[in-house]
Amino acid sequence: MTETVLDIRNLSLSFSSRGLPVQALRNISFMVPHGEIVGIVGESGSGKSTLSLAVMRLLADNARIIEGQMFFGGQDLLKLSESAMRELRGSRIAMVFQDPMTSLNPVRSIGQQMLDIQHRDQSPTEDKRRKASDALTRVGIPDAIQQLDCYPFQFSGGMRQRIAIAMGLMQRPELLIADEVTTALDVTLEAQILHLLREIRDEIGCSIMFISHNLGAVAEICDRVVVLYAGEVVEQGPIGEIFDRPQHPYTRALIACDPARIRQATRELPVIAGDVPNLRTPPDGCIFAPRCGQVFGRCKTARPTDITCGPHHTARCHLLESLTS
Amino acid sequence: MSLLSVKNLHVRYTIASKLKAALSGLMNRYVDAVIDVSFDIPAGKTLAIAGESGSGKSTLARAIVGLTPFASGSVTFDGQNPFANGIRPGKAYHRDVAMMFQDPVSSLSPRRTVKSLITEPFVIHGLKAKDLDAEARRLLGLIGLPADFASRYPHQLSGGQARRVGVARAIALNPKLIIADEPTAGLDVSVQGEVLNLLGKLQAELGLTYLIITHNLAVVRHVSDRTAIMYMGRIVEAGPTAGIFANASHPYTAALIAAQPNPDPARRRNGPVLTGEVTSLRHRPKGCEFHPRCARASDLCRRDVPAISLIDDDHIVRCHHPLGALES
Repeated sequence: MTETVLDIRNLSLSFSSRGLPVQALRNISFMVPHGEIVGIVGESGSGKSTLSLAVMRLLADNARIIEGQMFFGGQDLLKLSESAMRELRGSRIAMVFQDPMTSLNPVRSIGQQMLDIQHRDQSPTEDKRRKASDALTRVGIPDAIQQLDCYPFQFSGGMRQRIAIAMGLMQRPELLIADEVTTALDVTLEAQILHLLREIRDEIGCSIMFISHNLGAVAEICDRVVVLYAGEVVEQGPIGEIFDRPQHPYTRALIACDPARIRQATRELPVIAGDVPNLRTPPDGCIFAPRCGQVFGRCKTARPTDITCGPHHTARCHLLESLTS
Repeated sequence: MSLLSVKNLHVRYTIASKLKAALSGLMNRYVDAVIDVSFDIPAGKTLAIAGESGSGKSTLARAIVGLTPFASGSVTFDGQNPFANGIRPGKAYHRDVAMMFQDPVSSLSPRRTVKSLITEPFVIHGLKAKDLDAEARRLLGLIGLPADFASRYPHQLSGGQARRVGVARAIALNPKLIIADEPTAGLDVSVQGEVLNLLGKLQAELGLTYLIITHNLAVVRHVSDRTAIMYMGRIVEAGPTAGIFANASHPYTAALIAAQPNPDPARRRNGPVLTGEVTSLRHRPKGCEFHPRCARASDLCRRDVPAISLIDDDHIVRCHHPLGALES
């Protein structure tokens, strides 16, 4: 059994707003094993980014944790003081965001920004600069020492994302949260960045929580997949299981919709009809019931529980209950 | 007969004034965003133009609708030259050629209702006599949204619904050609299909012709009859979509197809197929623009821009050493 870096247990979280609270995450449980890349897949509004911000404890003030625990290296992140949490961020848990243009400060050179994130380190500036240029070299930025004096606008989108990854990895974190890091990039650059993330994982042995709506990218680098739908984990398991033997109707539909997977050219592409439910008033039964093609009586009244359908593979669907009973 | 015919189109942006260029020792005051682009789209067909960011796809679209002036070349639409009298085409051209812009939400004014947005083309073109309520109902019906969406504002729409409203605006005046810039960018996969199916349905019902600009080759394969691949402002390969995918001849096309992430963990790649990035347009490489990233590059590629050669009837490529050709 490998060591677990992050262990989220039964996490539920709501945003208070005018009227009823928005139940953004409901009963989320999953683990990130040491050295593995875990993909968090879901469409817009599924709660992917809320989940990553929850792990960093960077949520807006109107967020309320209803229940649950998040263990990181044995400590419950939800019980840590703000100052203890600040010690963790950037050093043991790092995050890379979607848009490298807005996540870098446009008026400071990248060298200055890379020194800023080493502010706790007592070593001389010389050493810090060397560390920064080494990190840039590692992610494939040529002439790193000269580039330290450049500003973000002087780099292309792909280069900026490499810089953001270099900054995230500088303190050799145990967990890197990559939130849609390739979404803004061209496919050729996406392939390069995915390859880079995998290499870095192998080299420094960190775990990566790879958040994406892109099944292709997830298939390319992840070891495990967690499928989120409207704030719930509907299915999770090893990558091969999820792609080859998807059990939940949502996972199946999602995989079927991907035009890259449809070999024969077609003018009639599959879709998932309907909309994501309103999370102020989520349905009583299964969260996916209103859009599910295989819905039956119990789906509308009772919430399904997680059912084991393979090694480390669970899905939350009433259809699977007959298999186990 | 082709509905739209583009010949040797060239779009050039001035990046520095003469004075600034002289003072800073800049050799080239211009950036060529589109170079020598020619293609035809037959009525009722779909042409997709694909390429990475910076390849000039959007500039090409903007030049065709007249939003960006072009330096040379010609655009013929329905047998006429819309740019004949000066540089800006008239309103009649804009009734026949509609543009769908990239970002579905930010291209809709947040202060206007859906009804006001989708009937705006009638107002702009002075067709006030028409019953706008009836038109709004007709358009909402065509794009498959309930009639009560007429009173909604853009922030009350999902990404897919906002895209549909963009489609309604484009088809409002019964155009012949729709230029769609990244029609599925930013949409979830489950919704992408909806928008593409809608475009397909409208094409069949209304006899529309499409020019689709996209970087997503997975989408191109399903929606277009012909595909052109652009790199640094030039079309490097063009042909029937099935032929391009089955028989890519330009190393760039092949690399682009291979770079598409494959949603199948059993078929993982060992490394990226294409390294490096698109060179800045300000420092256009000599010879073939793709040579710095190309594994097949030779001295010839570094010296001369390749001419267009014919792979078969309808399939052209601009490469000195096309794939599949006899190695010399």
